[in-house]
Amino acid sequence: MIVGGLAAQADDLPAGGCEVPAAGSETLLSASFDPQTATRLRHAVAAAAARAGLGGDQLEDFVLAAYELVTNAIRHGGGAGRLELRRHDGTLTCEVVDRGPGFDGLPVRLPAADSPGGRGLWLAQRLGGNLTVTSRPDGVTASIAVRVTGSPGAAARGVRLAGDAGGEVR
Amino acid sequence: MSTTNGPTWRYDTASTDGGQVLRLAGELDMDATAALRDLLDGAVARSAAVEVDLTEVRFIDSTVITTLVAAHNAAARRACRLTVTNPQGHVRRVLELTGVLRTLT
Repeated sequence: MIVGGLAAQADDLPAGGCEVPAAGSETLLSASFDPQTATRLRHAVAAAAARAGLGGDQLEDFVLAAYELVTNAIRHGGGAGRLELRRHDGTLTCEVVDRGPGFDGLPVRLPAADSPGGRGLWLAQRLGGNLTVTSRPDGVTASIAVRVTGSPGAAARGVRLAGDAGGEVR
Repeated sequence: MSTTNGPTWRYDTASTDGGQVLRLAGELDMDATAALRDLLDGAVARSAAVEVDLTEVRFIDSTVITTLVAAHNAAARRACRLTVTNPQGHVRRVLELTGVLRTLT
Protein backbone atom coordinates (compact mmCIF):
# COMPACT_ATOMS: atom_id res chain seq x y z
CA MET A 1 0.00 0.00 0.00
CA ILE A 2 1.24 3.44 -0.84
CA VAL A 3 -0.02 6.36 1.22
CA GLY A 4 0.11 9.92 0.05
CA GLY A 5 2.11 9.18 -3.05
CA LEU A 6 0.53 8.38 -6.33
CA ALA A 7 -3.03 9.62 -6.01
CA ALA A 8 -3.92 12.70 -7.98
CA GLN A 9 -4.17 15.74 -5.75
CA ALA A 10 -7.79 16.41 -4.95
CA ASP A 11 -7.49 19.24 -2.48
CA ASP A 12 -8.23 21.86 -5.09
CA LEU A 13 -11.54 20.33 -6.13
CA PRO A 14 -14.41 22.74 -6.28
CA ALA A 15 -17.41 21.51 -4.36
CA GLY A 16 -19.03 18.77 -6.42
CA GLY A 17 -16.68 19.40 -9.33
CA CYS A 18 -14.35 17.25 -11.39
CA GLU A 19 -10.62 17.45 -11.50
CA VAL A 20 -8.95 17.69 -14.91
CA PRO A 21 -7.49 14.27 -15.72
CA ALA A 22 -3.87 13.85 -16.66
CA ALA A 23 -3.01 14.39 -20.30
CA GLY A 24 -3.61 11.26 -22.35
CA SER A 25 -6.05 9.75 -19.90
CA GLU A 26 -9.67 9.10 -20.64
CA THR A 27 -12.42 9.35 -18.06
CA LEU A 28 -14.75 6.41 -18.49
CA LEU A 29 -17.14 7.14 -15.66
CA SER A 30 -17.62 9.99 -13.21
CA ALA A 31 -20.41 9.98 -10.65
CA SER A 32 -21.35 11.07 -7.18
CA PHE A 33 -22.82 8.46 -4.89
CA ASP A 34 -24.63 8.00 -1.62
CA PRO A 35 -26.18 4.95 0.07
CA GLN A 36 -29.12 4.96 -2.32
CA THR A 37 -27.02 4.97 -5.49
CA ALA A 38 -24.10 2.73 -4.52
CA THR A 39 -25.47 -0.43 -6.12
CA ARG A 40 -26.38 1.30 -9.35
CA LEU A 41 -22.87 2.77 -9.46
CA ARG A 42 -21.37 -0.66 -8.94
CA HIS A 43 -23.23 -1.88 -12.02
CA ALA A 44 -22.05 1.14 -13.99
CA VAL A 45 -18.45 0.45 -12.97
CA ALA A 46 -18.86 -3.16 -14.08
CA ALA A 47 -20.15 -2.11 -17.49
CA ALA A 48 -17.47 0.51 -18.01
CA ALA A 49 -14.65 -1.77 -16.84
CA ALA A 50 -15.86 -4.51 -19.15
CA ARG A 51 -15.90 -2.09 -22.09
CA ALA A 52 -12.36 -1.10 -21.14
CA GLY A 53 -11.25 -4.69 -21.60
CA LEU A 54 -11.46 -6.33 -18.18
CA GLY A 55 -13.03 -9.75 -18.09
CA GLY A 56 -13.45 -12.88 -16.03
CA ASP A 57 -11.92 -12.92 -12.56
CA GLN A 58 -10.07 -9.67 -13.17
CA LEU A 59 -13.32 -7.85 -13.89
CA GLU A 60 -15.13 -9.31 -10.89
CA ASP A 61 -12.19 -8.57 -8.62
CA PHE A 62 -11.93 -4.98 -9.83
CA VAL A 63 -15.66 -4.30 -9.49
CA LEU A 64 -15.70 -5.61 -5.92
CA ALA A 65 -12.59 -3.64 -5.05
CA ALA A 66 -14.13 -0.45 -6.44
CA TYR A 67 -17.34 -1.12 -4.55
CA GLU A 68 -15.36 -1.59 -1.34
CA LEU A 69 -13.92 1.91 -1.81
CA VAL A 70 -17.44 3.22 -2.29
CA THR A 71 -18.85 1.55 0.82
CA ASN A 72 -15.81 2.63 2.79
CA ALA A 73 -16.56 6.25 1.89
CA ILE A 74 -20.22 5.77 2.81
CA ARG A 75 -19.53 4.08 6.12
CA HIS A 76 -16.42 5.96 7.24
CA GLY A 77 -16.12 8.95 4.93
CA GLY A 78 -19.20 10.99 5.67
CA GLY A 79 -21.87 9.01 3.83
CA ALA A 80 -21.21 10.03 0.25
CA GLY A 81 -18.48 10.59 -2.28
CA ARG A 82 -17.51 10.74 -5.92
CA LEU A 83 -16.09 7.96 -8.09
CA GLU A 84 -14.06 8.34 -11.24
CA LEU A 85 -12.94 5.58 -13.54
CA ARG A 86 -10.07 6.52 -15.82
CA ARG A 87 -7.91 4.76 -18.39
CA HIS A 88 -4.39 5.88 -19.04
CA ASP A 89 -1.77 4.06 -21.01
CA GLY A 90 -3.16 0.59 -20.43
CA THR A 91 -3.97 1.14 -16.76
CA LEU A 92 -7.51 1.36 -15.42
CA THR A 93 -7.83 3.47 -12.27
CA CYS A 94 -10.80 3.85 -9.96
CA GLU A 95 -10.62 6.79 -7.61
CA VAL A 96 -13.08 7.55 -4.82
CA VAL A 97 -13.08 10.92 -3.12
CA ASP A 98 -14.95 11.66 0.08
CA ARG A 99 -15.24 14.69 2.30
CA GLY A 100 -15.45 12.82 5.54
CA PRO A 101 -13.54 13.02 8.76
CA GLY A 102 -10.46 11.20 7.51
CA PHE A 103 -8.77 8.33 9.28
CA ASP A 104 -6.17 7.75 11.94
CA GLY A 105 -4.64 4.55 10.71
CA LEU A 106 -5.30 2.31 7.78
CA PRO A 107 -6.43 -1.21 8.69
CA VAL A 108 -5.09 -3.14 5.71
CA ARG A 109 -4.26 -6.24 7.72
CA LEU A 110 -6.74 -9.08 7.24
CA PRO A 111 -8.75 -9.65 10.42
CA ALA A 112 -9.09 -13.10 11.98
CA ALA A 113 -11.61 -15.42 10.36
CA ASP A 114 -14.06 -15.05 13.23
CA SER A 115 -13.83 -11.28 13.37
CA PRO A 116 -16.96 -9.72 11.89
CA GLY A 117 -15.50 -6.61 10.35
CA GLY A 118 -12.54 -4.82 8.84
CA ARG A 119 -12.09 -6.53 5.49
CA GLY A 120 -13.20 -3.82 3.09
CA LEU A 121 -9.93 -2.06 2.38
CA TRP A 122 -8.01 -5.31 2.57
CA LEU A 123 -10.22 -6.63 -0.23
CA ALA A 124 -9.79 -3.40 -2.17
CA GLN A 125 -6.03 -3.83 -2.03
CA ARG A 126 -6.00 -7.57 -2.63
CA LEU A 127 -8.46 -7.53 -5.53
CA GLY A 128 -7.92 -4.09 -7.00
CA GLY A 129 -4.22 -3.63 -6.79
CA ASN A 130 -2.09 -0.59 -6.05
CA LEU A 131 -4.38 0.70 -3.32
CA THR A 132 -3.43 4.28 -2.65
CA VAL A 133 -5.06 6.26 0.13
CA THR A 134 -4.42 9.96 0.54
CA SER A 135 -5.61 11.92 3.52
CA ARG A 136 -6.56 15.48 2.57
CA PRO A 137 -7.48 18.32 4.89
CA ASP A 138 -11.13 17.80 4.01
CA GLY A 139 -11.42 14.08 3.48
CA VAL A 140 -9.89 11.01 1.87
CA THR A 141 -9.03 9.95 -1.66
CA ALA A 142 -8.67 6.22 -2.28
CA SER A 143 -7.78 4.60 -5.56
CA ILE A 144 -7.00 1.25 -7.11
CA ALA A 145 -5.37 0.53 -10.45
CA VAL A 146 -5.00 -2.49 -12.69
CA ARG A 147 -3.24 -3.15 -15.96
CA VAL A 148 -5.53 -3.90 -18.87
CA THR A 149 -4.47 -5.59 -22.06
CA GLY A 150 -7.25 -3.83 -23.91
CA SER A 151 -9.33 -6.78 -25.03
CA PRO A 152 -12.16 -8.64 -23.34
CA GLY A 153 -11.06 -11.76 -21.48
CA ALA A 154 -7.79 -10.06 -20.64
CA ALA A 155 -4.72 -12.07 -19.77
CA ALA A 156 -2.71 -12.06 -16.57
CA ARG A 157 -3.05 -8.94 -14.54
CA GLY A 158 -0.21 -7.16 -12.84
CA VAL A 159 -0.72 -6.43 -9.18
CA ARG A 160 1.95 -4.52 -7.40
CA LEU A 161 1.79 -4.14 -3.66
CA ALA A 162 4.25 -1.99 -1.82
CA GLY A 163 5.16 -2.54 1.79
CA ASP A 164 2.05 -4.33 2.95
CA ALA A 165 2.20 -7.20 5.37
CA GLY A 166 -1.03 -8.71 4.18
CA GLY A 167 -0.31 -8.90 0.48
CA GLU A 168 1.89 -10.86 -1.79
CA VAL A 169 4.09 -9.90 -4.72
CA ARG A 170 3.17 -11.55 -7.99
CA MET B 1 -34.64 5.54 -15.43
CA SER B 2 -35.71 4.61 -11.93
CA THR B 3 -34.01 6.50 -9.16
CA THR B 4 -34.53 3.78 -6.60
CA ASN B 5 -32.99 0.34 -6.53
CA GLY B 6 -35.23 -2.68 -6.37
CA PRO B 7 -33.85 -5.55 -4.34
CA THR B 8 -31.01 -7.34 -6.09
CA TRP B 9 -31.50 -10.54 -4.15
CA ARG B 10 -34.14 -12.93 -2.93
CA TYR B 11 -34.41 -15.91 -0.60
CA ASP B 12 -36.50 -18.83 0.39
CA THR B 13 -36.49 -21.02 3.45
CA ALA B 14 -37.13 -24.69 4.00
CA SER B 15 -37.27 -26.78 7.13
CA THR B 16 -35.44 -30.05 7.22
CA ASP B 17 -34.99 -32.75 9.83
CA GLY B 18 -32.07 -30.98 11.40
CA GLY B 19 -33.08 -27.38 11.02
CA GLN B 20 -33.49 -24.73 8.39
CA VAL B 21 -32.08 -24.17 4.96
CA LEU B 22 -32.01 -20.57 3.85
CA ARG B 23 -31.34 -20.28 0.12
CA LEU B 24 -30.10 -16.91 -1.07
CA ALA B 25 -29.94 -15.80 -4.69
CA GLY B 26 -28.73 -12.81 -6.65
CA GLU B 27 -26.36 -10.07 -5.56
CA LEU B 28 -26.01 -9.20 -1.90
CA ASP B 29 -24.19 -5.98 -1.07
CA MET B 30 -24.33 -3.27 1.58
CA ASP B 31 -28.02 -2.68 0.88
CA ALA B 32 -28.81 -6.26 1.89
CA THR B 33 -27.09 -6.44 5.23
CA ALA B 34 -29.87 -5.27 7.55
CA ALA B 35 -32.47 -7.58 6.05
CA LEU B 36 -29.98 -10.45 5.88
CA ARG B 37 -29.10 -10.02 9.53
CA ASP B 38 -32.77 -10.13 10.50
CA LEU B 39 -33.28 -13.21 8.36
CA LEU B 40 -30.32 -15.03 9.90
CA ASP B 41 -31.22 -14.01 13.44
CA GLY B 42 -34.75 -15.28 12.92
CA ALA B 43 -33.58 -18.62 11.56
CA VAL B 44 -31.07 -19.07 14.38
CA ALA B 45 -33.75 -18.33 16.95
CA ARG B 46 -35.92 -21.13 15.55
CA SER B 47 -33.40 -23.89 14.87
CA ALA B 48 -30.40 -25.74 16.18
CA ALA B 49 -28.88 -25.79 12.70
CA VAL B 50 -29.12 -23.23 9.92
CA GLU B 51 -27.66 -23.78 6.48
CA VAL B 52 -27.19 -20.74 4.25
CA ASP B 53 -27.07 -22.02 0.70
CA LEU B 54 -25.16 -19.69 -1.63
CA THR B 55 -25.50 -21.74 -4.83
CA GLU B 56 -27.32 -18.93 -6.66
CA VAL B 57 -25.49 -15.97 -5.17
CA ARG B 58 -23.43 -14.06 -7.73
CA PHE B 59 -21.97 -11.26 -5.60
CA ILE B 60 -21.08 -10.57 -1.98
CA ASP B 61 -19.02 -7.79 -0.45
CA SER B 62 -17.22 -7.28 2.84
CA THR B 63 -20.36 -6.02 4.61
CA VAL B 64 -22.14 -9.26 3.74
CA ILE B 65 -19.14 -11.27 4.95
CA THR B 66 -19.33 -9.30 8.18
CA THR B 67 -23.01 -10.16 8.49
CA LEU B 68 -22.39 -13.87 7.89
CA VAL B 69 -19.49 -14.06 10.35
CA ALA B 70 -21.41 -12.14 13.02
CA ALA B 71 -24.40 -14.43 12.57
CA HIS B 72 -22.16 -17.48 12.76
CA ASN B 73 -20.68 -16.24 16.00
CA ALA B 74 -24.06 -15.28 17.48
CA ALA B 75 -25.44 -18.69 16.53
CA ALA B 76 -22.58 -20.44 18.29
CA ARG B 77 -23.37 -18.52 21.46
CA ARG B 78 -26.93 -19.86 21.20
CA ALA B 79 -25.77 -23.43 20.61
CA CYS B 80 -26.90 -23.20 17.00
CA ARG B 81 -24.69 -24.29 14.14
CA LEU B 82 -24.81 -21.88 11.21
CA THR B 83 -23.00 -22.96 8.07
CA VAL B 84 -22.63 -21.56 4.61
CA THR B 85 -22.81 -24.01 1.71
CA ASN B 86 -22.14 -24.13 -2.03
CA PRO B 87 -20.44 -20.81 -2.64
CA GLN B 88 -19.77 -20.48 -6.39
CA GLY B 89 -17.26 -18.75 -8.60
CA HIS B 90 -16.27 -15.31 -7.42
CA VAL B 91 -18.27 -15.62 -4.20
CA ARG B 92 -16.26 -18.69 -3.25
CA ARG B 93 -13.06 -16.95 -4.22
CA VAL B 94 -13.79 -13.97 -1.97
CA LEU B 95 -14.70 -16.20 0.99
CA GLU B 96 -11.47 -18.13 0.48
CA LEU B 97 -9.32 -15.03 0.09
CA THR B 98 -10.63 -13.48 3.28
CA GLY B 99 -10.02 -16.70 5.17
CA VAL B 100 -13.62 -17.15 6.29
CA LEU B 101 -14.64 -20.03 4.04
CA ARG B 102 -13.31 -22.66 6.41
CA THR B 103 -14.92 -21.00 9.41
CA LEU B 104 -18.30 -20.74 7.78
CA THR B 105 -18.54 -24.04 5.93
